Amino acid sequence: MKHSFLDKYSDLDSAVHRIDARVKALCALGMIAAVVTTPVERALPFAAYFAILASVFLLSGIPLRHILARLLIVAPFVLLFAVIAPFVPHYSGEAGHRVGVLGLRYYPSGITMLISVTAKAMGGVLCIVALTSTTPFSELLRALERLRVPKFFLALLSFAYRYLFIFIDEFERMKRARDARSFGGKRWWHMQVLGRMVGTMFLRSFERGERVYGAMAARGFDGAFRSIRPLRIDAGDAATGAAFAALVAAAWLAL
Amino acid sequence: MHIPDGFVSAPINIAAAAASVAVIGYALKRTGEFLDQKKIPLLGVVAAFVFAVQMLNFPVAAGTSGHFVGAVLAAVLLGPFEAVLVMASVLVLQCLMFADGGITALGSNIFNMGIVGALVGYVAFKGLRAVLPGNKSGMLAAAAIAAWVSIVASALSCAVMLGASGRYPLELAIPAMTGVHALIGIGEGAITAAALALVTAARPDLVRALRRSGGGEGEKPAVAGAWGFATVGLGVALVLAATLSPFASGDPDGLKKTAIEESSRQIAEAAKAELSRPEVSRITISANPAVAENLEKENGAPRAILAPAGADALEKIKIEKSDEMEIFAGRIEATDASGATRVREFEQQGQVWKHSPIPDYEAGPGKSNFIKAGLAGLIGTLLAFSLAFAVVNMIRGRKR
Amino acid sequence: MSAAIEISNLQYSYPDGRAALRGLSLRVERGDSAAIVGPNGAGKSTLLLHLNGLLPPQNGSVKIHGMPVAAENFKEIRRRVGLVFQNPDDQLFCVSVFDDVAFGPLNLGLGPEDVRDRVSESLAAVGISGYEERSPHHLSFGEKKLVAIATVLSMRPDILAFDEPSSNLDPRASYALMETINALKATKLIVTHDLAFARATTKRTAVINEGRIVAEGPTERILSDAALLRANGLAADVHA
Repeated sequence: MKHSFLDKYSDLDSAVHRIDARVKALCALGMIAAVVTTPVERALPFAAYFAILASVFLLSGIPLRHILARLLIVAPFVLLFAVIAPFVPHYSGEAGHRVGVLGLRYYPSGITMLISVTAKAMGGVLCIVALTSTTPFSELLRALERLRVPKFFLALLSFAYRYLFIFIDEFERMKRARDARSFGGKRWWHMQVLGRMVGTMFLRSFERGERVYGAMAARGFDGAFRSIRPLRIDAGDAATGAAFAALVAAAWLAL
Repeated sequence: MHIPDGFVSAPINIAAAAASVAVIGYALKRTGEFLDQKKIPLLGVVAAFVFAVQMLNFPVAAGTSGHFVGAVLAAVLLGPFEAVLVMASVLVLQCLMFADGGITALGSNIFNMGIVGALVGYVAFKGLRAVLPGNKSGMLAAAAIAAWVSIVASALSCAVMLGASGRYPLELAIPAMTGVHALIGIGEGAITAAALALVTAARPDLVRALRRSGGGEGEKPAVAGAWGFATVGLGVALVLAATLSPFASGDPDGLKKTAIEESSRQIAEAAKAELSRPEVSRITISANPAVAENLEKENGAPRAILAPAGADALEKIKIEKSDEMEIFAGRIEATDASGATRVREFEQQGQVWKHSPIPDYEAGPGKSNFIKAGLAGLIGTLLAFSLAFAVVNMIRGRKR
Repeated sequence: MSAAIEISNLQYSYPDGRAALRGLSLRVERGDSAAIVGPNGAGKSTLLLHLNGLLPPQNGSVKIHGMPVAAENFKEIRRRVGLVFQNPDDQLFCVSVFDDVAFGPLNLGLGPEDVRDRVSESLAAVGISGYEERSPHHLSFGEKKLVAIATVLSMRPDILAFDEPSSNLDPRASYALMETINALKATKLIVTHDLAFARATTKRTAVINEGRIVAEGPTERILSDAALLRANGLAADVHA
């Protein structure tokens, strides 16, 4: 069964897709660091950041609706904050302006904070989407390995990624079967049914884990995770990375 | 509860990331050394299961729904540090795949949901096991309650981070988050218990074998006794903290006192100076943004500014003590007859305690200092205890 | 020259106490292609797990090329015995086909160039060259089966053991698999209850029931013995 998660657009071909995964990962990290450390009062750097990201997306060929769909993930946090932030002081001693009769006060610093948080949250999402939509997951893991993330942890991520689609499918099937047989009923009972589903799935995951270990042992696994396929950074990738870093740094320094 | 970028300040993100890296590093080392190789694919596959299971929603109340987290289920079945690894993997994948949780906030999210969630939940489980009956119902009850605790603790930790970053006022964030998650936690507890019941019924051999680390069914009485002692100790500490903190000296401790005195002195001086100018008809002194008191000249002797005792440098202004207003910062607006206003603002002197996560040892809803202080004491004790548990575990691990 | 596989009086019970193998003896010569047929629950899959030491015998012995299957020999035995599981998802645990097929050679300590060669050669042997960068969860069931075989072939085993290779395959895919297996050069052991498949791929057949071998001989003869098949829970209709 096909799933439209991470890998949806990672097998397209574009200038961005072809850049070495390590370079892309470091660029994404650098950009996010720049975005979150820039005070939002400085509009110019933010304009530059979003312009850079927009160009990356244009070059990569990723459809706009996919990007917008991903941006929705921060909506609950941002919307909730939007409702509360303007009515809360954000630095000590701030007096604010009275609003209405209930003693509610409005603080301009709240609006600033809201814009700041929204811009940074969105920037973060865009950087992640740019990275993961242009890099197949296996390459991303290899890049992380090269960047000294412990192999054991990467093996964990690898197994989890590999099998989560299978579990999602199984859960869907179980849910459909359950829905076909249940007609309302108390919440407590629903919890029990859910709980049993969860328990069954855990057992299946455990048994699958045993079988996977068997398959690994059968092919000589001895505890060490080995890999080859060194990522090659050619001159082009290095130049692109350097140019990207220079752009972001310039934007950051403009403050 | 997956915090996006921009919602938590950089120092907190960095500190949480460092703590997360340390605990994960320890967990990796431990799993590599003490567990057999079978656990390697097992943890990965369980992480896949947890990821999938977190997509299950259940209705909570009034149209909201929560989703199952699974930290305590994993901790009970696999062990506390194994659960940390599983939850951390899930959070990393959710961040990469859905941007659910920002990259800069990844350390904080792992800390709240992976480390606090798994470890506090596990501590609660072991503690409850020691005091509840040892049969199956007792174990299920312990797991259910521990799962509830884990959810609320994670929410609390998250709220504290948001508050300490200046995004939300603590007295709003904490009750809101913990309140909502106290409801969600009920679902988590129920599902955890039901799942655990099924697993222990279907594969009792598995439960025994899996729980070798961290103590299983056949634990020596001495160890079980230690857990019982720890639980009782924790319980006592919590009760004490909750009831006695509010009675802690109402007088501000030394550091604060000096700052208050200094600020009050400054404000009093300024107020005095303003009042002595003939064109000023009214001054307004606000010490707390939410409260403003008007000061009016009464027979040449203006009345009542509220300040703690000791700030009685004003001659013309009578000082009264109040629970509600403590002058750390303030502003004086001096209005003359034509309505023009002059403003002077005062910063508090000495900001040391203002940056700690729970300033003034207060947290919690409403104006009741009693509840606030009690709650702060509770939080402090829980966090200290969990930290101690993690540290002791690391030391014990090293000795082996 | 020692036999490829020599099993003597193998006994094994599951953790819950049920007996799986009750004194099973079997000999497979080098280069043979042998089927093991029997009803479900007869112990066929359990038997395969003993060939490379994934399950320890509780009694009796298993020898591969004369070597007893014991911890000190695991590394060599697991190189020589390629076990293809029934469910390919259990065997494809990496995020790309290349990684899965390369897993075995890497564990053998081969260098990057050799590993690459082995991957290409194994994928070619099962007819799916060019699949290196595909993700397992995007493959069809039939493709997964082929990749699973490739993951084992890359270790250049002398013995190939298949657990229900044709299960869940439609007739066309099943036929293609038959041809693929027949083209492979190794001692072959095929556990199955698909008698037509057994007929097409093996020269000798052993019938297993209740944890023991109850009959053994040339495939043609065994699978034509309707009475024998019926007595052992196998369909009488073998003229597929």
